[in-house]
Amino acid sequence: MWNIDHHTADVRLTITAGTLSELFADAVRALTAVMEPEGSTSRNDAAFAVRLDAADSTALLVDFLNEALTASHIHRVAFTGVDFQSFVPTKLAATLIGQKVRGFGEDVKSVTYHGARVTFGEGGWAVTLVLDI
Amino acid sequence: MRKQDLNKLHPWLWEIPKSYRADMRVPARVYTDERMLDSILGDRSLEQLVNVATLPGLQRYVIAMPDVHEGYGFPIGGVAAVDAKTGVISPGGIGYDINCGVRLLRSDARLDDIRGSMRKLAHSIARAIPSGVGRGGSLTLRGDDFDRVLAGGAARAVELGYGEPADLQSIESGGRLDAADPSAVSNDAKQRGADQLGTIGSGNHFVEIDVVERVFEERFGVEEGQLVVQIHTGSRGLGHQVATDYIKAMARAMPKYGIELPDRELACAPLESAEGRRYLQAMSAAANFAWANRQIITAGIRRAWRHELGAAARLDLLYDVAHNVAKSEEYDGRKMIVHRKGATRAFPGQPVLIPGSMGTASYLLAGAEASMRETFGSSCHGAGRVMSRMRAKKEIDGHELRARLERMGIIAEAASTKGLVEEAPEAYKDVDAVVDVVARAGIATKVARLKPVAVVKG
Repeated sequence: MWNIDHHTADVRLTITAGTLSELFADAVRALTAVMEPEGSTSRNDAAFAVRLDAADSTALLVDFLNEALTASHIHRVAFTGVDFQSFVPTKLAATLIGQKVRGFGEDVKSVTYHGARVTFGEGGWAVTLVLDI
Repeated sequence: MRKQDLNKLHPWLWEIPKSYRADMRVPARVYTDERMLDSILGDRSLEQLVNVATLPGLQRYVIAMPDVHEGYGFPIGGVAAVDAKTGVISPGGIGYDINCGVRLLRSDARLDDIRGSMRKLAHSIARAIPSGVGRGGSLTLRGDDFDRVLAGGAARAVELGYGEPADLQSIESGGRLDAADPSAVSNDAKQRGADQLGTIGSGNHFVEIDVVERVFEERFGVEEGQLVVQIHTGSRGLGHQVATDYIKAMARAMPKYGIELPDRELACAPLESAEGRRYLQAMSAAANFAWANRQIITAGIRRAWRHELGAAARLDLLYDVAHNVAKSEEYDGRKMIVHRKGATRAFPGQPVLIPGSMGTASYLLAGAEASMRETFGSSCHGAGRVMSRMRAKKEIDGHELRARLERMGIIAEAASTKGLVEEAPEAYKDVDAVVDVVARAGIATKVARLKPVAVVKG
């Protein structure tokens, strides 16, 4: 589940999920929603492999989303699913799955580390991210 | 932060003392008047400035300009100078749109003479210059040809036939940073920028035809009634990816150098480190890409201008400034790296270009002596945003905005109504008040006030 909120120059994204891997997958879908894909095909016809490690789960999430963002821009793909081959809080191997698109309505420049912190509480896993648009 | 946390040094300058927070290495200064300070305190920009004041190697103080607003890591409208030997470089202190900047072209046409052709002229420029999210241009370079642009900047664009050699004399740093090394730019970054030369992009980027409404001081060859053209864009997807790549690399490298910061987005590395040097090479290459981009856009505008107004019609480059960049400069007899994020170089006598919003005004200023003494040769960069893009989309009606601009005599050629609404005049601070502060503080002097006549944007 995610919520898109405003920030003076950018977009603030809040994501919550029951598990950490769901948080990562929902974050990819939320990023795609912010990008406003245009002219999407109806079938999953694009896949992109990602292998990453990071100092902590927050850095892993931001780096993972930036991998998705870069691939989206270069290959014009709207990612809507993630297949994790392996996943621990500081390391993952995954395949991003999505649809080819004509373009995007919003130019997301990057997913920033600014104020980002993956937390676990009563409501499950949560993170707030600032996207530079 | 509360107003009582700041000390008023003079009517246009406030200081957050080093004692405000234990991890500050230098004080933080804000150029503003009292009314705008109340607005600045309404977001987190000064807390972000205090975070910047924790970077290693800072000199004197960090600075917020009157157009400051909340960003991520650094506030937008921030200046920080570090010692070139002992300091760090922070990609977040330059931002994702490396060498986002403004170029001003001076025409020999007067509004009164061509008012009837203005709509056709704006449309012709919109057709000549691709704009909008991810829009590619007609020039797609690969391999060594692409790398020559990264190394050569605006000069390489001139070699390719875009513009005139004389243009290079009117660009900050001649339109090229020598430190550029294309091999420091990732393949991802090159792919993101591959088809984006000669394109404006989206967001707050635009091409705008202005009339010189008022001349405060006769210089730079501008006179009242004359038409000028502003170009505001940067390094597009290439620069975004360079910043993303190096913020990640530096965040990983910081523990190696024993650097701890309050915000990971401020990630930095010593200038003398492998990461610091590599970033400087990549950032310089992205800056060169942006100058080539504005040079190629200039050539497209000149073609459209001549097509509509005749082969003899002129558009001379008055000046081109970067407002998201790090530059090697000398102050107090020492070499420093000056980070400018949403701030413009303002060396004495240099043209300083301050774009406002599409419905108000822009300014042509001249850098003044106090900039060298007080602000590491820097001034503000624009009006400064006060309303988020999302809020603007919710609160402003696109059709009403178009109608309002028409009533004001401003033609809007926008690829999308959404793009127009996000940049509505009410989303920005009062540019007159922002410029008044830098003028009263002696950072820059007013040369001319420019009023928009036609806006072309993504």
